[in-house]
Amino acid sequence: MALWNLKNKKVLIVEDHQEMRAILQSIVEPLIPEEIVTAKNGEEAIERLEEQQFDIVFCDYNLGNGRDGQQVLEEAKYREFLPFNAIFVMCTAENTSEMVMGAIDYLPDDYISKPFNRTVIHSRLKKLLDRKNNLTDISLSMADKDYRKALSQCDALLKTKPANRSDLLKTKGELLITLGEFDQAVDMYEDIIEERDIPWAYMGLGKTYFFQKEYEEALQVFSGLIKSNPSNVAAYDWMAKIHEAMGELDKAQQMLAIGASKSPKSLVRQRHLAQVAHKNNDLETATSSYQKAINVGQHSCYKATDDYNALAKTLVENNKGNEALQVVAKIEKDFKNTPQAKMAAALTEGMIHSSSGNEEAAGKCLQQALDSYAKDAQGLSSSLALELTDLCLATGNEEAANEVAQNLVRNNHDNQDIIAKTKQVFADAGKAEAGDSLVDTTKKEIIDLNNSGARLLKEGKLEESSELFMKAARGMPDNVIVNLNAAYSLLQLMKKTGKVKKYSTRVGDYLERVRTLDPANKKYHDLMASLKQATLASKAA
Amino acid sequence: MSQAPEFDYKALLASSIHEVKNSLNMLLNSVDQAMLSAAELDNPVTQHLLQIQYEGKKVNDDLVGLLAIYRIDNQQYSINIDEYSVFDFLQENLQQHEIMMQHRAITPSLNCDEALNWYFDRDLTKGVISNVINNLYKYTKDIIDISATVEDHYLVIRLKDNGPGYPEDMIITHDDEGYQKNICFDRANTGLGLYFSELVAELHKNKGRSGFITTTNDGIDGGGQFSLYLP
Repeated sequence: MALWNLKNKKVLIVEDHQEMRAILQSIVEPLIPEEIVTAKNGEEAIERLEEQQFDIVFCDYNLGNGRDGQQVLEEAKYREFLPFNAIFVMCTAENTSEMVMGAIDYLPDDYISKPFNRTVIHSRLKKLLDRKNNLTDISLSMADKDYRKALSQCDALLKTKPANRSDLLKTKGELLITLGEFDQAVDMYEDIIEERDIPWAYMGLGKTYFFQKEYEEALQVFSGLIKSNPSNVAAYDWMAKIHEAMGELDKAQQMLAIGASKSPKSLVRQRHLAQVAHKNNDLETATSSYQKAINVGQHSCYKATDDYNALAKTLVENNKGNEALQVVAKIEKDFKNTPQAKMAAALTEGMIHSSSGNEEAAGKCLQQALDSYAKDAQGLSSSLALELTDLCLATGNEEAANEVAQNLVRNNHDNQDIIAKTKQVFADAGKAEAGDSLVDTTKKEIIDLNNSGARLLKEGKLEESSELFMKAARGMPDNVIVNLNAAYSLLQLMKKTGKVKKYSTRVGDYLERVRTLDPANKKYHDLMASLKQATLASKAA
Repeated sequence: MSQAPEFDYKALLASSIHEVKNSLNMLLNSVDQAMLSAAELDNPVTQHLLQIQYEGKKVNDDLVGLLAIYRIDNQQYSINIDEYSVFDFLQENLQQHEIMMQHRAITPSLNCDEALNWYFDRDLTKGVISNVINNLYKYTKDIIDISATVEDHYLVIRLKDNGPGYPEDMIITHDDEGYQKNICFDRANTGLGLYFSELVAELHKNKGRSGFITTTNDGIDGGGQFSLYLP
């Protein structure tokens, strides 16, 4: 009889093989968990995960048709289905290194390769639980997005020379990067590397150089990694990002092509390759990569109408209008006719008709897209908003174009990329001057608004400044700076009045918006910390 | 070589291996269960079950080895080095063979500092150790001794038995010049296991040094001793 158990813990077993499912269940049962739930494929797994929170997930990598284990993991993490200290174990018949290297964002807590027996599973589980236990405080802080606190907890544990030093160092590196403490991160990784050639430390060092815009150094690190291990797919992804940032799109495409050929199952990688190839005017590669992105991403949480629109666009540019029209039908089908899908489909179809000179059909589609847009402007991604602007201009609807573009700029006034692209859309339509002036005026309007809010803040008129920023944030829900300012102003008001309860939820909401828009935002972390402090202080009092 | 069949071959290989390993997993688990139920040691059924389990594990090890060699040769294997507890790792390998050892009245021992951590590719190294354990199981009289220490910046994992030892043509030594093999060392004859072990050891590199293996007859009472050196 084991001295430990899984009392009060809920276990999910995802396995397509019926007998294997039964075996796993019989292995876990003696540990008397509160509940064991099984799923026979990825779709069922997601449904079960939506229904309740599990503490332990055993998931087979290869689940037949539909989602694979990695996609289940990605979706579970991306949609935040799992509690902060949950354990996700990937079971595999295959060698795991390919999965580790091919994965872009999320890794499971552990891999177990088949065949396994009861004793092995039990001892692995025990160790994983101990490891999670040891990291509980840190994970809790991270789940709370209090990365500064997590960092100091990490440091405190590291001082005790623990057995899981490597785990802690990895986490510490990620925290430093998230917090933008790049110099510290470089020092830490270099110290580790001095002792030993560890791939993850090199990865971390290369990433940090990238964020510091030290592109040459970053390239050197990643090419070293590739030299010692030509199958390190993540290193190719990073090389591509660096070349892209340096404006070397040809080289970026080369790197992505190698990565995608070594590990083709990632939507994100195929999409990135397609986008870069499109910019390089390599329509063949762009088309086939968008196609692949759509195919491999059918069950991915990253699936987006943008890719369908972009595929249609490359087809049109390649004079394959008929094939492009088939893509439109696929949007509605693959996204089950949601309003957003209909909007994207109408917009794409309009673009196809417009480019073939069928103005009447194009106008009809545009009207449809604009109608949906009027109902739900937020349902359109920024790249589709640009497409919509483009279509409005192409069909002579300058007024609508201005409205869509204005809205886009309002929500992204400090996003250089979107600003430049918006101007480009107008320039391509031969209206460079009108575009520049629209974008610049809108940008100025937001800056002025932020400035007057800041003035009010400075004068101590906190009610007024909060009022102003809250109103602004209503109109521009996706604007990072406006949301930050609203949060900051309310925090000041909260401190001044002592009415923590009244304002804290709202401050949290604004900050949450910022987090989804820009998780690495430094100001966000500072405000989050001060919100935490204020709520704690009020509870203590 | 034409292009299309090559791709199909790879996909077929991957999916077949998935199938075969699932089946093996089923088979080995069922045998484990059956052996737990077969209470009496001298029950003739047990002997057959032992044989099934031994062969099953061997098929699995060979499959893992073959696939890894295929990948490494095709530059498709991406070595995944991370830090692990050496004790946990070795214990887990022993646990995999626990039931069959009990039935053959083999006493395994594990000598390793529980605080010892090292960097290696867990899958590949597991393949090597499992293979050696299976071999010792076949040849030993009744002892399997596993130890791990750090010597001259190498992790050294040693597996010894008290069986008849390695035959002359399977002795591999190593010095600064590299491998010293007996003149008649022949990959085809020494088998998959040692070739795979060598390949895995060499894939482990740190600060300009590579891993290696040795096989000698310095085991217990002249038995075999397999050593894996990881930098």
